Amino acid sequence: MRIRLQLTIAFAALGVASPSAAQVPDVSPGIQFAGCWTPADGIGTRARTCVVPSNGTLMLFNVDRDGKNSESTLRLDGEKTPLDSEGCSGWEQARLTTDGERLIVDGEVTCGTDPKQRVQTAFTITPAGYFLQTSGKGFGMIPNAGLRLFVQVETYADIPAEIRTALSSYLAESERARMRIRDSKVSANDIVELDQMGVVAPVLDVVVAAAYPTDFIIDATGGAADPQRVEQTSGGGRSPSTLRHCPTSLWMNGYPMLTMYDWETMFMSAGYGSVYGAECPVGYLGYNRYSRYGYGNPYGYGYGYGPYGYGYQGGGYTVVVVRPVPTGGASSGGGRAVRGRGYTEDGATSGTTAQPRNSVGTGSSSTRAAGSSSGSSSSGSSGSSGGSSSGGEPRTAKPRSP
Amino acid sequence: MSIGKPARLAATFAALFVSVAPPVLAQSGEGDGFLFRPPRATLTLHGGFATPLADGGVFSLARRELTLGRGDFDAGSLGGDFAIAIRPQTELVFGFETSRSLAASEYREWVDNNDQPIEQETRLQRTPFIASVRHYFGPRGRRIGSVAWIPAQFVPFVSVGGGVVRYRFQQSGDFVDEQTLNVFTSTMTSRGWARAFQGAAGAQWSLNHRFTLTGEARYLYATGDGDTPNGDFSGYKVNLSGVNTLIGLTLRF
Repeated sequence: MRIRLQLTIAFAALGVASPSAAQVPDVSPGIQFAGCWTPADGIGTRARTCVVPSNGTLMLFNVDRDGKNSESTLRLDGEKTPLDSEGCSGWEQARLTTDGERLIVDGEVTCGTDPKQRVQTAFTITPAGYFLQTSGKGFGMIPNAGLRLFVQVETYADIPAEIRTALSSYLAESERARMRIRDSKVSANDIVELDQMGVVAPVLDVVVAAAYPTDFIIDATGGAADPQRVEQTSGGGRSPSTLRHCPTSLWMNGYPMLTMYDWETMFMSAGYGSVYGAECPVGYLGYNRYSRYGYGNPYGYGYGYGPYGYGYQGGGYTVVVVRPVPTGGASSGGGRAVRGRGYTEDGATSGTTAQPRNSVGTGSSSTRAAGSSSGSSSSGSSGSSGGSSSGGEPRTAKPRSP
Repeated sequence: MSIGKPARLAATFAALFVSVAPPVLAQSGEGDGFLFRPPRATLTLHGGFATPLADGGVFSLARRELTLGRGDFDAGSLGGDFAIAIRPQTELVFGFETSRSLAASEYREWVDNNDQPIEQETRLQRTPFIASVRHYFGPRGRRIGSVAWIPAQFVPFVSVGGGVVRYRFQQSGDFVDEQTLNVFTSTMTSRGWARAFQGAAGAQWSLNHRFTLTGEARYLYATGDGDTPNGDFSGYKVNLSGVNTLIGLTLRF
């Protein structure tokens, strides 16, 4: 009921008919990815990418503050599509899994005189409703993977009208698809299918870990707290001075091992919407434990094949190593204390964690508690969007009166 | 056949199985139809049917004199195995099983002076403790990526090993002194430990990612030493060899 209310508000703000009156198309492949997304990992947070299903394809629009700046099409029929952009050429091939829940994009890219690289990206929806993009690349083999996390934009007010119109008939169905997929765990059959599709181990690991957020460690150790390294490898266009000013607490220093749930929570509380989040990639690494052809080399993710496409803003992947939570390491539920973070709500509640909805407002009316006020400590949970809350206020803490 | 004192061991093992399973399951991760890593060990609780050869030594004596046949020593068995994976297709298995038969008999050739049968009971208890190496004729499962392990549906195996067997052969009731033909009442026992060797073949069927059904046929080769000259069965050996077919439930963890 609450979802319907929010969707109604969203559609009203979009200036389109309500879902009940809208022309709802048949379920389109990749419908769960439909919508406009913004990075939840603090990397390039000003950019948004809108995904619009269209005749068995996904139209991808990159939007900046000046409006749409690029668009591309991703065919979902498994056909290889030529790529030719910014001195790079090759092909890409997008395939949905049988259940339609995951999208795998393979590609081969040659940039200039560099050797041909293999690229693979998996698009999934996490149990918390995030858009997870896991990507790996390499020469011949893909030795590791990086991830990026995206969340639905809070408002469509500044999305170009043509994109809003194209999206309007899909939003309700995409929300339903995400709700369904969120509760759908990766099963053994899914894993076998992904393996048969040629999904490489590092990418597959992240897909599995994302589906079981409290069972896996997303380990980004190995210099995560070294701004200099990030400076050398970010490729994201941020100035070194900005990076150096990032607080070390955002570099995961002190708690190098995080479950997927922690990542999502941290993206929420520290990255997305925080005073630092706009500039500081959370836990961003230029670290490659497997190969010298890693993310820190000139062939890193910054190359892109085109400023758009399914790579969103191109670079900025957080390279991770996935491994199960050690025996006895899993919390029994309720809460726990994490070094460097203090007491924290336990990951066992993932999937019901408060998260940003596709709520719509004027932009200024929507607020987030975490980190939004300078220097103040906050609960880390998202604040309710104006007018969209139908339940009671969540219990929060405040300073004791003197 | 009866379930008596030796079954306590199996019951204890069963209790261990039940008590160990929940924490083990809680600590080793699993997904929908897969484990997050290959199982490092398995615990099997099995029941079966033990068929001793019941030949030679005391068995020849008993079967010749008394109304006992080879089948009278057959018995149900209970046991368990703890297996540690030492290679992808090889496990080190520590197991035990216990079986106990109880058969009533009377003398074939003799009755008492009141034409009543001369009756007795014969008990045989065997409890082998065997360490063996089990080799699977195929992968036990398939690792996909580094965090998913999906079990194979069917995997045959063979194993060889050795150990010891605790045995007790006991007859109680009325007996005939062949020298004096006196009928006397007695309980005679031969017990001890004997070296044992075991070969086995079987297969595992996956029920799901956690449990498998294990079927196995084992041949145990063991001979209890003859009793000391002053023993109840002086000079007789106790043939402990036999076949055991069993089926068990195996927990992977």
